Amino acid sequence: MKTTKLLFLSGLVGTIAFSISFYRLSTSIKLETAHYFVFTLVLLTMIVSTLFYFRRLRDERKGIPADDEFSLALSKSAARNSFPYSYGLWVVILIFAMFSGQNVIPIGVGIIGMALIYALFWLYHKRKGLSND
Amino acid sequence: MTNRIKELRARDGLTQKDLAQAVNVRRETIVFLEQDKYNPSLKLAYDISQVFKMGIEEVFLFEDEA
Repeated sequence: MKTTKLLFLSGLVGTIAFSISFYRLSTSIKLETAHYFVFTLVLLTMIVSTLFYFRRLRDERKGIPADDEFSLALSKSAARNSFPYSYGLWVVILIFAMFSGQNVIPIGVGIIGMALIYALFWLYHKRKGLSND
Repeated sequence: MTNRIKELRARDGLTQKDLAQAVNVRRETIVFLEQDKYNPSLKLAYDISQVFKMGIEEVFLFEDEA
């Protein structure tokens, strides 16, 4: 089984398993708004990932390369540009956690923030293009 | 750097999809190249030039920006 197919099936199984778990959890205990927000965010991420894998699978069948030099350059550029902002985000989170007197560092916020920063830069370059002059 | 891909593609009656398949890239890469939003690697520039049976310098136009 090809890697793309395996990733697609994993994403699909993960989304279904997550939805069932959430349904069972929501019927057994009382959930707060923040929980629903996080669950929705995770579910959306899984759905988007599954759709991406589905597209890769379809392209693979058609003989279209899933990644080429432009898509790789786009990913690299987004990663390179998002790094300093992600670093800054973690510094802000740590300072916030320190001064708010919390003993727990909100790692989830940091991870989601990093993903959002990366996605924003990816979309920016996808729209504006890449210049390597 | 600019290029004549769109013009040459029209001359040879190729679609973006045809050209993308010929040089083994995604169609969106050809779209970005035609819009001058991406400069290709030397390998891709060479492959595209080969499709049009021309030299790289005839397809990709280097302007002196100094």
